[in-house]
Amino acid sequence: MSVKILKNAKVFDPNPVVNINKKTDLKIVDNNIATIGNNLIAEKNDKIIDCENCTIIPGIIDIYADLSALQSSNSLLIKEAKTAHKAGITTFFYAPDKINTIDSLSSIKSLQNLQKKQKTSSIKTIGALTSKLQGEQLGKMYSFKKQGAVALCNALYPIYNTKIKKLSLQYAKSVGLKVIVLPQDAYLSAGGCVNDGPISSKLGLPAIPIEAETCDIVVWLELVKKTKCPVHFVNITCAESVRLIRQAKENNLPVTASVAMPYLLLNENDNLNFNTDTHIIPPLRSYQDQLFLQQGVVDGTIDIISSGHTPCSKEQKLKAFAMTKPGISGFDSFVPLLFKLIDDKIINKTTAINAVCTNPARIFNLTSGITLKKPANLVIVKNQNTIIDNTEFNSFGKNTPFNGFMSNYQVYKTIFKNKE
Amino acid sequence: MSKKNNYFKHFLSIDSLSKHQIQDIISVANGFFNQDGSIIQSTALQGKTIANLFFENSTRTKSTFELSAKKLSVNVLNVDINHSATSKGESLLDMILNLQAMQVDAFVIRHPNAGAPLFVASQLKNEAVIINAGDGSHSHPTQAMLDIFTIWQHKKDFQSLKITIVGDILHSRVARSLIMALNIMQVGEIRVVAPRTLMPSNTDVLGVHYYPDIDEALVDVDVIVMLRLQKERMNHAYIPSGSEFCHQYGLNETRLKLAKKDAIVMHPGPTNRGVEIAPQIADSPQSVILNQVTNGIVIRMAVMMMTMGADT
Repeated sequence: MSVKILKNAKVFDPNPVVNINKKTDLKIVDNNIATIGNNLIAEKNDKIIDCENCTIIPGIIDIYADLSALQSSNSLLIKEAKTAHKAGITTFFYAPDKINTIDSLSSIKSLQNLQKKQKTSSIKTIGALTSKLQGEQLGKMYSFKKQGAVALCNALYPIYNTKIKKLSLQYAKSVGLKVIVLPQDAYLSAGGCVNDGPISSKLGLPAIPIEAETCDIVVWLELVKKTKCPVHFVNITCAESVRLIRQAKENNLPVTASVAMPYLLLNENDNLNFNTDTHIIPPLRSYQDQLFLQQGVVDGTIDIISSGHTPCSKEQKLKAFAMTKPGISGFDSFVPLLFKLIDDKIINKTTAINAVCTNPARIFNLTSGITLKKPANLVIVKNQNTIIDNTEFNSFGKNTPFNGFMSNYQVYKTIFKNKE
Repeated sequence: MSKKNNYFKHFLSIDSLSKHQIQDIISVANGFFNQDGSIIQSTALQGKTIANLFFENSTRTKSTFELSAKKLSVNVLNVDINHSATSKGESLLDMILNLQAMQVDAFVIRHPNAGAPLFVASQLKNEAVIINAGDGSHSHPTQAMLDIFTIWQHKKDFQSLKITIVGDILHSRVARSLIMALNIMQVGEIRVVAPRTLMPSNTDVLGVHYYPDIDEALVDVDVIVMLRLQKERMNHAYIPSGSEFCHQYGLNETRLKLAKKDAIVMHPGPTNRGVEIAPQIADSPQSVILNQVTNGIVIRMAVMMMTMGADT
């Protein structure tokens, strides 16, 4: 029996079922939370972790990681899972890509076998919505569900045929899996790498207009209206998308939405000087859009904040802007940036923690919560000045535009499956 | 420090230049003309080596860079991109680093991707010079400078000028750079004319007035700059056809009469005669298109002198 006692921590879990916010001790026996209370007495072999100046929150669930740069390497995948663990992310969703389409049962199974050997973060798979992500034939949705897929999506690969979109929603609904949509019209976005706005006008970089996102959202929403299939929109980037989703929610459509961290902290002005670390797809939008996204999180239109984790190799970013692989490595900086949003009073602490713990768990039928007799799935966040420095990243990808960003918080320890 | 020596570390875009610096480039370039209009032969940069790296086709720009270098006694290495290691997968940066190891002093880079020369310049650690010969739709600073020089030759005072630029502004590095340079020179008014499909979304940040109608845009102007319409634009639904474009936006004799009597007509070349410009206009006394070509030599000589740091 292993016993850990976390002393003097501020335990914070705004999950309405739990709703805890107090300074207390917390005792973990083996994998479960055994006691929450003050002045817990440690016995001889108990491990004491001093959590003075720390906040304990539930393990973070990051709902979309694009790991295509890893080329399906098992060793790199495990490294990323360890990175996630150190970064406080105890569960992340592995999005399908052209190399690992996660559209075969064997690929899901091999991932699960891989994980059993490692006590890293939990890797949840997202099954391919269409076969080989080609947008022509439905993916094997029922089989994916049986193998543990948490959702379905077609990543950024287009489904040109609207009927296939509709059929995929109908089938997913009957299987009982949520569909994740990255809204982007393939034609309107083709070849683009930055927002269609003043920066693209100045720099002459090929642009992606916001209509590329909103037109696609409108189509999917019409199909959701018809099929009643729950859809989660990821990586929404602009004010108009927030309005569309807000309206859909008001009309009681089964839709939810998430925004990735870079869109809350950056905007198209950060593309100036051709900084390839700011090249992401969909692109950073205007400052007004950035503010609207922040407001969308505050008012609950946007349910989830993801890290937008897309590690890239150095070589993939050492090119002319448009030629670089889009993406920002998000795991390592996620907690410091999340708490920066809180510190800067952009998002309150309850909303922020719900957006990375409670809401993803609720929307994707996972568990979250600092609850007695339940698994200890916790992040200990220390109140300590930190400067984001990609040379200290554990991730395969050092690609970040957040180098030099300051935060007053960093992950001290993550406890998951009885592993620190 | 002399105006000519190490004046610029690189020559990458127009937006970082001041009015004073543009005037200095004009002054240095003008000094390369003999009294009779011929261009001097100099040994000022003897011993230096320049590599021309053109990842896109070019006749005029590449030739004038080569001629400019030879006028300054610079060794010229024309890298055959189609048969180079980049065609075998070598990265642009690796290629530059290898050429640098061969003691090349400056690289003239034309690349289809916006920002490519800036990217290379940001990665170089020593003294090699990067001169941007056109990157994607972003910038073509030496073209802008030769355009400014040509306008200066004919008009002298920039502040009173009205200038109209006609054509594919959206995809034109020539237009972007020239507009920036004209704004730095505090030109009276810059008008741009194009169908909306060939305009950037935010013209306000460019400091221009947008005119959908060419006839309105040409009234009383001093300078008309016609841009080349690339054939690929016709194939991608930006315009219905070349002839339709010619009909709506082409410069013909009737339209030229709307401008001031002494208006000059410019074009960065190569021209599509009968599409954006009528042949008789291209060959008319008001056309300064061939002056632009000649001026391209002295401007590029000036840029080489002001970046490669020769002692005079």
